[in-house]
Order: sequence, then structure tokens, then C-alpha cells
Amino acid sequence: MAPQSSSHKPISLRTKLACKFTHALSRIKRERPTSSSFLSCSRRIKIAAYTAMAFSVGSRKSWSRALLYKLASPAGRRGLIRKRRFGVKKRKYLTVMSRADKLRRVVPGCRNMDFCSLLEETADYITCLATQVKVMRSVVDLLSA
Amino acid sequence: MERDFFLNAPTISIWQTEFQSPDFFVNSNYEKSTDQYTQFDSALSSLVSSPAASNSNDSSSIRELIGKLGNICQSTNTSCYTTPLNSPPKLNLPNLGNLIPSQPALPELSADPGFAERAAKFSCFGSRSFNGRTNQFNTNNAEYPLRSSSSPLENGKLGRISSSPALNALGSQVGVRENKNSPLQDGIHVEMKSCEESSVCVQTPLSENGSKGTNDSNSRKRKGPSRGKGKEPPLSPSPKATKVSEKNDESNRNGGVKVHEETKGSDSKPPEPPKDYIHVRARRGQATDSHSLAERVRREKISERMKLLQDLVPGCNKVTGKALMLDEIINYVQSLQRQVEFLSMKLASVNPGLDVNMETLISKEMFQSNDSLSQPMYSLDSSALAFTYGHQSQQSLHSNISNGSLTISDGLFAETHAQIAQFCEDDLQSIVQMGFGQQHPTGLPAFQPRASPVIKKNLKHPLELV
Repeated sequence: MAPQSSSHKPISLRTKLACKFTHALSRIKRERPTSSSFLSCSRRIKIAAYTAMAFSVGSRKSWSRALLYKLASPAGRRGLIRKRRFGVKKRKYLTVMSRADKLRRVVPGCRNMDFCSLLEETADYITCLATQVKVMRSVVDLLSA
Repeated sequence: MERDFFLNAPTISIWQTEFQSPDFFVNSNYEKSTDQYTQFDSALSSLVSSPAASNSNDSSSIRELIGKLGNICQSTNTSCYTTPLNSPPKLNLPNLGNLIPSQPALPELSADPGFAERAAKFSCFGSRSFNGRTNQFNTNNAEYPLRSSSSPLENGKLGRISSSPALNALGSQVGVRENKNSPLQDGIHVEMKSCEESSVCVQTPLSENGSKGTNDSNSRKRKGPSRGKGKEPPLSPSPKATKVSEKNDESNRNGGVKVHEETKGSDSKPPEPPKDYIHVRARRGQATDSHSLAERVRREKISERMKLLQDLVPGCNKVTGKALMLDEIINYVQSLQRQVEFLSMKLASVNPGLDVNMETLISKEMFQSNDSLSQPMYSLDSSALAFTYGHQSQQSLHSNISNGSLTISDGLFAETHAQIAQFCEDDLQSIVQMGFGQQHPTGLPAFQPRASPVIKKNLKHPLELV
């Protein structure tokens, strides 16, 4: 028998990401003639990726909220594309706390959180990032094949 | 949200109130005079039996209770104050220096009318109790600005008794940083915190010339944890904290933390009162004061999350220890971010002139994700359909669909794609609809069975069943 249409079935994260990302990509492609430089194109695609991530998760997580705020302002978007300076630090002085601070710098939106919730946010961020990477890889494969 | 509010609130206030709260634990973790407990017992038994009722009633009896506790507390004032001299060198005095000036509100506690009621609610500690109590506070107190002088003290009381959030806030801020460096033994940690607290206890009466009002306020501030302490042998004032049962998180996690001391033989849990309590029991041979229990709860939460992360991050099974794990996690997150960047560059290079392929892209993505989607559908349908979806390959789907389980599978497909279509935007939706000729009639407003030449041209076999 045919099931009733229920809108409460969970849509997987991957599906959401795929939809958002491909849609953003199509929009970028439509606007492509204006932005001809390769770097700006890749930057836009990167922003599209983070946008897809943030919108698919919504306001549930702190990192997604922080990303959404960042994406809302152009200054924040520029900050997203920032070039990282890789400093060399002595391993000896990397205590657990400084590692937690490092983690706070890496995961967006977790500056003032305690260690416990920071770990939770990190787990969610990692799942979302990994799914995004998978989606992007499959898109690249589809487009290049 | 209140929890976030708490954590983002000026943590200095929470820390400062941590300092003000008294410390019986400092004297001796394991030597508790039974006198105090008998007094506590009698005073608190009624309170324990109905904390919910005490919300609005009996503020006068609560004040009597507070008075009693204050008298009890005064007797141990001196011993509390002597301990900071023995504080370990790790004591972070500069932080205290920052916090001492911001304690103007000590005498105000006695004047606070609602304080008695709020103090009466401190029959629990634990992270969930923290949330529960914050809700209570929000609903019960009209004046709840964290900026006010009295409320931070109460919040601190909350944080003092409830373990994880306030402690975590502290941990992120000040003193627990040293804790993380050292191996977290219960005794050291408790002693450190308690010494810090008691040292502030010293300074406040000194600053206020050790008046009786100060003593009263100090004793009143001590009420919270002493109350929590007093509840440790709630109904059986047995002296020692040696025999306890195993930890009991799962039962009754609504509000607070109640510590039970039980004899070794009795493994059965006592009849838990129907209140907001998280029952945390100290394990045998471990400290049972609220500090170490709260710390233990927090540590177990952290280790739980680290295990989750270990599963997420590949190659972390061999790594042991928080520090190395954190290194691995940081490296993994950075590598993922770099991969996103690299793939975006690759996409930018691959991109040119691929407008037509967007539909294929989208549909293929949907099918790839549908393979993962099909699994949750098992529970909904008959076993036949489950068998249908058991084969993750699209070919088997195709064959099954063509065999005649068409309506069901199509219905499901249509449903999922309806959801996806609603999720995505309009042009995408139209593309999806075109892909499926037969649809489930319910819930799909704009679903039209049409064949799109674009899709027919570009799609592979799964969509060809239209």
C-alpha cells in the first residue's frame, strides 16, 4: 500500500548539502561572465560550499550560526577567505589548554564555549565538513567525467 | 538558551561567587561531624521532601533554616579561614585580585526577599539541574538581570552546586586551566578550588572588618553547598563517605544531582522522589563531595565526547590521551578545510560551459544520497519494500520497479523527492518532478507527470523508467 505523504521523514545531511551546493554552483555559473578571474571564481565556490553547510544545518549549532553571521556581511566573507599564516610553535609548550584554544580558532563560533560543548560542536562540524567534501568530490567527478 | 546565557554572562561574577561559597570540604573531605549533619538533617528533611512545594510556600521556615545553617556555619568559620595559608602554590592569586573588588553585594543577600526561596531550591546540582534551575529562575523571578548584584551570587550558588556548566565556564576562563595541566586528581583539584574559595572567604571579612553581618552573609553564602553537602546523607546520617554505590546517571535525569551514600550490600536504588534530580552516585572509594562529583560528571562527559570524536576522525584509535587526540582533531579539521579549498579551485577550473549538466548533476546527487536515504525507509514499509531497498544499487531498484512494485517505490521516491523539492528551490523542483511520471497524489501540490526532453537526453537508466 502506498505510504502517506509525511513530511517528517529525515532528509539526510548529504542530500541537503548536495541540493544547496549544486544550486549555488548553478547560480555561480550563470553569473560567470562577469567574474572571469580564476581566483575569484574559486573563492565564490568556496563561499558557496560554506554557505551550503551553514544553511543545511541552520541555527541549531553554534558554528553554523557563526558562519551565517559571517556570510551575512561582506567583511565576514572576506575573512572567510583569509590566508592563514602558518606559525611554527614549539611542541613542548602545547598544553591541553592551548590545543583547545587552537581548536577554538579552527571551528567557527566556539570562542567562548567550554571544553565540553566545544568538543560537541567539533564533532558536528567534522561530520558536516566531511559530507561537504564528499559532495564536492562527487560533483567534480561528475563534471570532469 | 538560558544555559548559553549563563555561560556567556560575565563569568567573573560566577567565579567570584564560587569563591564566596563556604567550604567545609577544605577542612576535611572525609571528616564530617555528625552534629552538623543531624542539624542539617532535621532542618533539611522537610525541605528535601518537597522542594517543589517550597517554591512559593514557607519562606519564613526557610529563613529559619537559613538561620540555623548560618549558626552551624559560623562554628566552622575559623577552620575554613585557616586553610588558605596551606594552599598549594598553584593558587592563582592575580585572578583573585581581579575579583575581590567586585564583591560589593555581600550584605545585600540578607535583604533579598526572594533569596530564601531561591536558596531553598538548591537541592540539586549537575548540569541538567543547572538548566532546570535556570528555567525555574527565569520563570519565578521577575528580576533576573545578571548584572544585578544579588543575582550573580545566586547564579554562583547555582554554579557552585551544579557541576558542569559553571565549572566549565570557569574552566574556560581562569583556574581550571591549571587543572588541565596537572593530572586531575580529585584531592588536588578539590583542594585547589576550595582553597581559592576559602582564600576569598578570608579577604571579604577582612575588607568588611569582619562584622557580624559579614559573617552572616558569609554563612548565608555557605548555605548552598552546605545544603548540598547536607543532603549527601539525606535520610541516614551515617558518618563516612566510603561506601557508595555505582554512578547512576540514567535514572531520573530531570534536574539535579543527589548524592546517596549506601552500604556496600545494598545495590538497589532507593525510591527516588519524583523531582528534578539527576542521581549521581559516587563510586566506591571515591570522594563524594559535590565538587569532585561534579568534576567527575564533567570529565565523563568530556571523555564521552572524545570517544565520539575518535570515531569520526580516522586513524585516532591508536592515539591515547587528550592532548594527542586534540592534535589529531585539529589536524583533521584543518585538512578538511584545505580540501574544501582545493576542491573549490578544482571546480572553478572544471566549470566552463556546463550549464546543461547541472540537471544531471543534481539528479545524480539525489540518487547518490537516496541510496543513503533508503535505509531509514525500512521501518515504514513492508518487508517486500525493504527488500526492494535493500539493494543499494540502482539497477536492482530499476528492476524491482519495473517488476511491479512500482507504485510503492514510486510513491516513496516521489515523497522523498517531494521533500527534497520543497527543500531546494523552484527550478530544481521542476526538474525532479519531471523525472517521475507516477506520483503519489497526496502532498505534492505542483507535481505534474511530464517528460522532459532535457532529462531524457542526459539521464542514465534509473530515470528512464519514466
